[in-house]
Amino acid sequence: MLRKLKILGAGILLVLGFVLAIGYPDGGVKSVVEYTPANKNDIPTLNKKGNAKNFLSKKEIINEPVEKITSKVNHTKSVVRKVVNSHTVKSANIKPKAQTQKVKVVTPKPVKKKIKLVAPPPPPEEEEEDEGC
Amino acid sequence: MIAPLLKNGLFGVDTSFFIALIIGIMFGYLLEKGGFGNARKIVSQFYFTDFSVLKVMFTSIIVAMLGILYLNWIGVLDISQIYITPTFVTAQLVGGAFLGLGFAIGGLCPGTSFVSAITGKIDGMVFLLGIFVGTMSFGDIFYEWLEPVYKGGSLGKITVPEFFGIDTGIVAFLIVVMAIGSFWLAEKTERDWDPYKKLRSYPKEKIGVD
Repeated sequence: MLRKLKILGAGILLVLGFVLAIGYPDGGVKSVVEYTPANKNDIPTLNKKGNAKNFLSKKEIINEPVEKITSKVNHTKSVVRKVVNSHTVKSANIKPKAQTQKVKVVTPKPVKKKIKLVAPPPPPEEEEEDEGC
Repeated sequence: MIAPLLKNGLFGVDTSFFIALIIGIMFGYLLEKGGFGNARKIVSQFYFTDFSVLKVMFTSIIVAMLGILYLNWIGVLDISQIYITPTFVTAQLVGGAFLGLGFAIGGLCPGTSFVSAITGKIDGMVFLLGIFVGTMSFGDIFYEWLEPVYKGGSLGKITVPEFFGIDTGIVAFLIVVMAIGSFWLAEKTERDWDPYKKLRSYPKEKIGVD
């Protein structure tokens, strides 16, 4: 009985190892890589070979079918689907920004007092003194 | 990918300490239940009479390896976030040789010495004392002197597939094959290697046993 169990265990381990040997992607399945994109139109998404050059754009992620994205990147379909869902969910859940009421700060203009320039009354005409001849 | 759980923020550092404590207790309990708190059990491996240590350690290695790779493959575990110990060839060769010597002479390794000490065995306690004295003296006295040794042969954080340039899956399969081969060899040696075999097969009347 114990001998049979040992053989069964060894067989399971061998099968598991063999499946890895033929199917496991080289270097493993990469996660969603967070990075700050140089271009604002690109969003952090699937990394193809571990460098930042091979990122898909947001447009590609949302518009292309999962199968097509999977063929481009080094990820399984389930991982790609998760990322796509996360993007679509994110885009659906975008909360509208709280509208900030634009309060016009009205700075009171300095009231210019119209100063009436009142011309000084003309000096009283001096009565010409008749000069006596 | 949700794992590693701590790095992905599923729980905090405090919780991780608690989980580590629980795992540590379970690990110690299972070591003791497996008989690894007893130096005689471990030393038996070097006399080719009991390969339990090899079988348990190799089993845990391949179970962990297959678990990590499959969890990564199905998109649960992000393998790139797992900490990899840097490789220092010289340091690890020298350190490994000393560890092996201690293992063969004293019959305990760091983990099992804790288990042995906590169950009241004096040899385990002496081992623990040695660990603390060695660690402290390394830090205080030998840290600068031994720098060429412990920094020698640095390869950085490298894995076996990266070092040999082979696919991870193929390396995993080879390790599984190696483990099963070693289990078979260990069991065969345990069966066949018997230092008292000749004595047992010797006719009883010639050795004066009734």
